[in-house]
Amino acid sequence: MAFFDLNIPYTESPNQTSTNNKSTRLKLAVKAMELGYTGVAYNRTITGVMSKDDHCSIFLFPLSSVLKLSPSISSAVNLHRRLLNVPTTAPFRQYTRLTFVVDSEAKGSCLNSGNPVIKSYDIVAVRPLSQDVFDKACKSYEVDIIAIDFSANRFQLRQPLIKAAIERGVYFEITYSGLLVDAPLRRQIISNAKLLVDWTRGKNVIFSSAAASVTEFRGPYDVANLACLLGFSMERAKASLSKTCRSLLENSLRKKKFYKEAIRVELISSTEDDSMDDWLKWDPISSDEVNGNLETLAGVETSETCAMIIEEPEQQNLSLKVYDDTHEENVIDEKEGENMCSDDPNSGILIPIDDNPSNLQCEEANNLSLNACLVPPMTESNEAGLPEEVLEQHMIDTKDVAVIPVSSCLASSGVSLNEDLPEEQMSDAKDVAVTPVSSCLAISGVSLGQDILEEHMSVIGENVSTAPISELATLRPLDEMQINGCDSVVHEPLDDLPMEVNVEVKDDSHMNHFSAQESSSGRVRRKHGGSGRSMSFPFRRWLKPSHSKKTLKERRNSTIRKL
Amino acid sequence: MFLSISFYGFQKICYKFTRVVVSLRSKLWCTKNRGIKMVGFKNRYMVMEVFIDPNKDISKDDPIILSQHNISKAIKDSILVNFGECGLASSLVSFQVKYVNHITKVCIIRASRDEHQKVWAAITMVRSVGNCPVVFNLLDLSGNIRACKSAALNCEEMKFEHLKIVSGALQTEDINKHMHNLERIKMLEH
Repeated sequence: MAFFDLNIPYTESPNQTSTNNKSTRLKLAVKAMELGYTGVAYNRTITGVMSKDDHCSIFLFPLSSVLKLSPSISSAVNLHRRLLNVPTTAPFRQYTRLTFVVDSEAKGSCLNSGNPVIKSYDIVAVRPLSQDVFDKACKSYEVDIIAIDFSANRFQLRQPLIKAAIERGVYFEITYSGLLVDAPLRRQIISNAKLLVDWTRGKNVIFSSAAASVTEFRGPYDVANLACLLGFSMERAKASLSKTCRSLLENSLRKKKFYKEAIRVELISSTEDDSMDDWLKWDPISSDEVNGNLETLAGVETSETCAMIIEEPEQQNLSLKVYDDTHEENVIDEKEGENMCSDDPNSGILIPIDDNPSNLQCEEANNLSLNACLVPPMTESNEAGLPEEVLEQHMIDTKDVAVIPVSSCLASSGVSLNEDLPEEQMSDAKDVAVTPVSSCLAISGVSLGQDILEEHMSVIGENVSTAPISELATLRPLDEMQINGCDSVVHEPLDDLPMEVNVEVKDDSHMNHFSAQESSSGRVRRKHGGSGRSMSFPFRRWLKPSHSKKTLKERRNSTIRKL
Repeated sequence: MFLSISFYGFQKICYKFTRVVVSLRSKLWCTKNRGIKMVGFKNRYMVMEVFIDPNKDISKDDPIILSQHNISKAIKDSILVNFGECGLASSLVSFQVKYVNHITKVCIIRASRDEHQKVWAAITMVRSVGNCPVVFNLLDLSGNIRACKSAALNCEEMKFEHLKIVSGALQTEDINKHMHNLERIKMLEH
């Protein structure tokens, strides 16, 4: 369960306050990471008219700046992730988002899929300020999110509009930082948002903070509880923070990368062996930006250390890097021939922290930049054959960002190995089970054997033991030999058996209890065609006393008559 | 044939036997438990951590020392503001701050099962303890004191490790305090 917070305010600002704003944003991102969130989106708000300058210029934080702010963050992250049942090695994702504040229809007409400014952001949201804009937003605007400002709501929410929006795949957003600020604001937000919650019934609604500072930021479970105040059930509330956000991200990233329903077709060179692994590593919610996915914080734990070390011989081309914070440099690989991404200037591949805790402490003490291990993915062998187009390089970037982290790869390979063994054993067991049964059938040639087979298959399962079957098989001929004195009863086929049983019935003087039962069962067998029996032999004997009684009476009558 | 019947019957007897044993065992267990706890009162135990003044830098000292009293007061004020007099009155039935560790900032709060969501929401909306801005974060929510204790011990251990990394130096008195706090958790009763 991965939690996302898709509204961290980004203010593009005049230079004076830029450091402050940047630091607030960084603090918020760090806090989000610490509390266990898996991803955040930096939200930029534009009012009025969109211009070409509004292209995405949001700076995504690299791992180094995060660590500079709080060097011991990895232990806090691990603590919270373990408590939230989030995998501790999941990357921390950063997205860019645009919120376009629209107060008239004319201004909103630029929100269509052809707009290049919109294409440069991962997620697009609209904030309608009037009724007609809201109508249009629900029906036609090409946005991912409709973010209504509930603290100052001036229009009515109508159910058919909301329904139409949900059917189109548009999400509604509720921000919770207003609830935490002061009481009158709280009142307004709750009264306005409750209506939306009732009508959407929890579908297609996401929760996010629009936190102005770290004090208004809360952890995922706390936010889910606040959502319950608004009318969600706890399940829906947690889903609105996790699953809904994730589906929103998938949709919006798909829209960003591709045009409408287009499919990307890629040329893969046929030289590599592990192509399946590459396909499995495809990450549907990765944004292809620099620093988009912070592959982080797998560092301090020793268990993950082991995972890292074991991966080394597999990877075969690890190299130690010093990642400089001063400027966004190319991460140059020592083995450049293999790494296509060194050609790409934007290859800010991110890196797990070095594992040794002692190392980490040295870093803290000296306040140095990181030692980082570059984990080159196995996809590198593929890339030699690929053409050098920008799009595909971006694709490579996403692959190279080693999207599924190291330990999980190891785990998956380990698991697959383990799975093979029990399967083999199972198949062996099945084989073993099958043979004695079939041999018994061949020997006995009796439906009795089949009954026992069914019973055993249902009760014991695959572990059929040979002993009881063979004994049962042998019992039968003994009985029959007692009665009839025949030698080879056992070996006769099924069809002949009922005939012999009938013969036994008529022979009164040597009537055996068992043979009477056999006759009754034989009659039953004949009636039912000898197939489709779910009951086994002993059950049938117990459950159908009427047959036996009748036959006994008949026998007595017949004997009396004969007398 | 005899053997088939006997085998099958034996299996059935085995099943019956195990069922009887299990039911007996469960009955015994229940009676044993009922002697200790009053099962009428249903509570929820929340293990929370407190972030004091999140805007400031990490390495500085805390402007305020957490205690049972000031956390309890802050939460009650929040319930009063958000849920009114009746909300406060119904929450006060089972509301208690059971344990506070001012070093690792872990606290255990008990609320009745009916009101625990309100109390939890009120705790989330607490903005300050005394004069100092704080943020509460839920770590674990459980229905009995045993699960709560084990979760709290786990959280304490992890937070202590975190503190060690942050502060670097480890003194014996810190370790002693830590052990003392762990003992305090283990002594908690409902």
